[in-house]
Amino acid sequence: MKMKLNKLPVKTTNGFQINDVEVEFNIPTFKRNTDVLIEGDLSLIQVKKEKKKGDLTSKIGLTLSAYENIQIVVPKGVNIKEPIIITYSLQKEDANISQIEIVYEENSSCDFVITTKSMDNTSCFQHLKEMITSQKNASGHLCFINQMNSDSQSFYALENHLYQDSDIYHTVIDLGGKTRLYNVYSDLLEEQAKHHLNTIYIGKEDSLLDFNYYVNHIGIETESKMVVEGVLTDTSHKNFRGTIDFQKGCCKSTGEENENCILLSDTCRSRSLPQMLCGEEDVVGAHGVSSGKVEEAKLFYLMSHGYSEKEAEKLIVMGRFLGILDSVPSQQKEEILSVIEEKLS
Amino acid sequence: MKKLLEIKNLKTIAEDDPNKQILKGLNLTIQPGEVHVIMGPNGSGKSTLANTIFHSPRYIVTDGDIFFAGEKINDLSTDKIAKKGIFMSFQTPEEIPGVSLAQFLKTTKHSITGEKPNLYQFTKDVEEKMKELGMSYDTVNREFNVGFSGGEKKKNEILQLLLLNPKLAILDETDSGLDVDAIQIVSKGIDLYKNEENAVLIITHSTKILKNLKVDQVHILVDGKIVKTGDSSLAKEIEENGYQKYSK
Amino acid sequence: MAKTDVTKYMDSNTRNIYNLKANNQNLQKEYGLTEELIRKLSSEKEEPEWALAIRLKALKLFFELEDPDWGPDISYLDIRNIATYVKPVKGEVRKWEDVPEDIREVFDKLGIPEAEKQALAGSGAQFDSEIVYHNLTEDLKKQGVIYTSFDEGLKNYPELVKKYFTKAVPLTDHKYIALHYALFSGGSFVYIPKDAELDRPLQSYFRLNEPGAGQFEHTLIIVDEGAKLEFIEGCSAPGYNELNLHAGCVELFVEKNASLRFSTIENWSKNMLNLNTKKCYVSEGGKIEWIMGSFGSKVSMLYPLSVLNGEGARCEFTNISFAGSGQNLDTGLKIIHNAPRTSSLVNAKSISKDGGICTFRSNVWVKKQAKHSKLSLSCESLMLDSESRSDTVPVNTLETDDVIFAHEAKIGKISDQAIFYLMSRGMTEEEAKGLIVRGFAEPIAKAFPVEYAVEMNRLIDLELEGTIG
Repeated sequence: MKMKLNKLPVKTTNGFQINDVEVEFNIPTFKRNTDVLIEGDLSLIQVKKEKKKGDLTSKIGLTLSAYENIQIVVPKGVNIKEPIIITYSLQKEDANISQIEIVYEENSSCDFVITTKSMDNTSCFQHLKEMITSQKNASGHLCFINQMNSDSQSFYALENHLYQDSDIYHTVIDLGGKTRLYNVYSDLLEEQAKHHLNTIYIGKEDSLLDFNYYVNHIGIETESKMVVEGVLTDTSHKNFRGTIDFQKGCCKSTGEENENCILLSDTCRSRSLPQMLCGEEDVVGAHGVSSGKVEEAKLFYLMSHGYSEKEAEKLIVMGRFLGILDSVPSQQKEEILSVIEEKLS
Repeated sequence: MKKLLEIKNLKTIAEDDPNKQILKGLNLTIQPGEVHVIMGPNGSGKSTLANTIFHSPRYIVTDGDIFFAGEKINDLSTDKIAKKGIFMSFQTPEEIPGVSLAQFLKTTKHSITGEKPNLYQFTKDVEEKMKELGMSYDTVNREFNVGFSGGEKKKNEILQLLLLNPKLAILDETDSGLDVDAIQIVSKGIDLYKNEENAVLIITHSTKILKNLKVDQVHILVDGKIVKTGDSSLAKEIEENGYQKYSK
Repeated sequence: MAKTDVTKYMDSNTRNIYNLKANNQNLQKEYGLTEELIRKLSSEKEEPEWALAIRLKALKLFFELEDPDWGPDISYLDIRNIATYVKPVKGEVRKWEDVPEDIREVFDKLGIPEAEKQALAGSGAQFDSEIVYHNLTEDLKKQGVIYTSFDEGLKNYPELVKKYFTKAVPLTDHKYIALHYALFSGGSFVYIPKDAELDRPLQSYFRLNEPGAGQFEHTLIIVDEGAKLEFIEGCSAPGYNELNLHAGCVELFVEKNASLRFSTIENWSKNMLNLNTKKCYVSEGGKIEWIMGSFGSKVSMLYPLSVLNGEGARCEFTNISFAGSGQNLDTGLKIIHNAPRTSSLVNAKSISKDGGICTFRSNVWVKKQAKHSKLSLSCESLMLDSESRSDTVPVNTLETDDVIFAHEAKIGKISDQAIFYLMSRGMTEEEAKGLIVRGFAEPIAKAFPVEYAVEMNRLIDLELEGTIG
């Protein structure tokens, strides 16, 4: 079936072809529970895993019933040093329909690394939703890594509800899947709530990448920043929609978005809408997007030092990614780096 | 003799932090013809004083009064204070994109005097003053302060001082980034401006700027209050010993 | 170019000049939208059969097409309440003395005949639905330059008009372009022959005088190979309580190595729905420059499209919008890079105040064949208070890797510290804000012809005074 998904919060001209994305997919029949592993020091946090019969609805525009729910509470004042690792291993045409709910209570902190990985070559499906609530003065870095194979479809939705002084940092590393849709919706509800959202993507073959990011500045002195670095090759298509919405009354807030896309082929397509909606005077908003091929001068320089064109391209792209990868825990970083290298070769 | 500026028991707080008392009962009197210097360590309230005299929205007066030529000015808006004949040279002057220096100078002269300047005479004045300050006349076509170096911005402030010819000049020189060149410009500017009727208040934390100036009074500002007043020898003492003696 | 003193009419009561209402008793006024009206309109204009066919097709389309489901709400527009055709009894003339006195008085006060005398190669004036005046200097006529009302163009150069008419903007583009093609009346037809260069601009001035009326002028300009033209459009209307509608259309063709600078200063009254459509096709080595100042109207929806069809074609787009109380200005642009080595440069600014809404909406598309193209887009918005809104909605699509593309946008307010600085130099808060806003608009004002830059600054001053016309 075909569906229009990932709709823009405020519609623009239909002719611009950015209001939504049309995706073809089959709604999977639920066969078995995807294997999920939770690792790390769980002694101080509460983890509850259960099957739910009801609907899992996300802002992507999908509603699917029967899902697995992981509920995590980081209690008041608890600070976990090492990240908690959650890994979904998909195989045998799995349909992973899951939700992770994380509640940070006051003054708590904890990092998470959530990975979805294909274990075989079968075509899998995923609708994964993360719901984050961060109470006063809580903080955390959440890293989502998509390593599904090129026959799989991934629909990832993230919702943030951030209260006073909370500081949530997100990194999305998008490395696989034929169709991958991302929806991030963040409410910065109270004063000085902060959300940073970094993304790396690599689009290959005939994959479709669709990002729909939305930050809603409600509280005063809230801060948001989106940085998206990506590379497209073959016949891949990418849409990026980043909306910063300054609500009236969110004075002294700042919002910034930057999207850079490197195109490595003549048959890929990059479309972007860095949107700013502003109903408050006393804010600072800025966005910048740039696209194009790898800078010729850099390429020439490297090639004059003995690099092949391919190697030089790879080096330059890796350089663009490193800033974002620096925030990923070292254990995962190594693995990601090798996957990226392989993808770019 | 009539007092030009009189500040009585001035107390202020910061607009964005009402718990923060900055000036804690400051008294200061300046007569026409005098040059005063206020010195003090970082955070003592020097810049606050200059900004408060000009009714900056960043500071709130909680007590005390400011009189200029016998008239209370605390409640006047910034532009009215300027029109009374007080000028302030900013430590970081603003950039105004799209507005040429020439246009700016005409507008400010018109605002201060209340009448359109005679274009021929005014252009001549600008040209002459710019020459004295070593500014290229072409600068008048540039956007106001946009892309100016620190020294150029400083010259621009002094140029305005000379063109507007106020009764009292407050020079906020708390910025330690002043190089030798800039210090010379300020000194030269004061030289060109100063006469028996007007007065200068220099706010600084370094003594370099005072080398070639005849100073009447030096005030030491520590923690929101003037703790000592003396003649130019006081500045020498500070240069040698610093502020430790006056800090708690 | 000689400096025109349009400013002498623009002292403290400038707003009153825009507000002049001609008390025109001698006019024919038609309401509604029926086939019968359209046939009558076409036959009165003695149009060829194919033109009537276009009108009838468009009429059908208008009723079929839906209102846009995005952007400003215009659902309250009821075409039955709009006077779709308003014609002064006396026709088009070549001398200002022959223009009916009450109409002439309005144009006199707007400084139009004066401007023509001093700075223009030709000028036209439209009053409601019809052109009342059109003139071009003799030497340009001899060079083969054509500058007439669109109706005259259709009558006298039917083959040339037919070749280009509806070719840039099709009937099906949107609902209100269909309405335009059903009712088009007035506007200008310009043809600049090969290698001709006009040293002074042509100007058309559009005045909508009747309350509740619509204006549907069609402007068709062809700049032939190697030729150069500067064209200026001015629009204004007095304020009424009834809704007025402007659904004009501009079709521009810039041929090989030709260039066209198209400037618009729009000051419709604040009861106007301005649903205008503009498109330009640029051939190899050609250049289109759009310069727009949007100050008036209740709602504006206007996104000029440039299609860069030939190698090395260029587009420069400079725009400023200023929305005050009750205004919703939804403006922007579309550019299609369709050929190699094409370039576009966009500089858009907006100011919103007293609850005004400014939206910048753009769509830039670099097609696969547009290798070695360059694009640079910048938009800046200034909000003067928190009652207002400012939205930036830029879509960019790249289908080739061989392109240099950069886009920047900023939203912000006037810094308190800058106001404090200016006030310490004796300016009142209002004066300080005015100076900063004028500085913000200056790069755009500079792009306009001198006398229009002056008019633009006056309009900014008027907006800042907060007087609502």
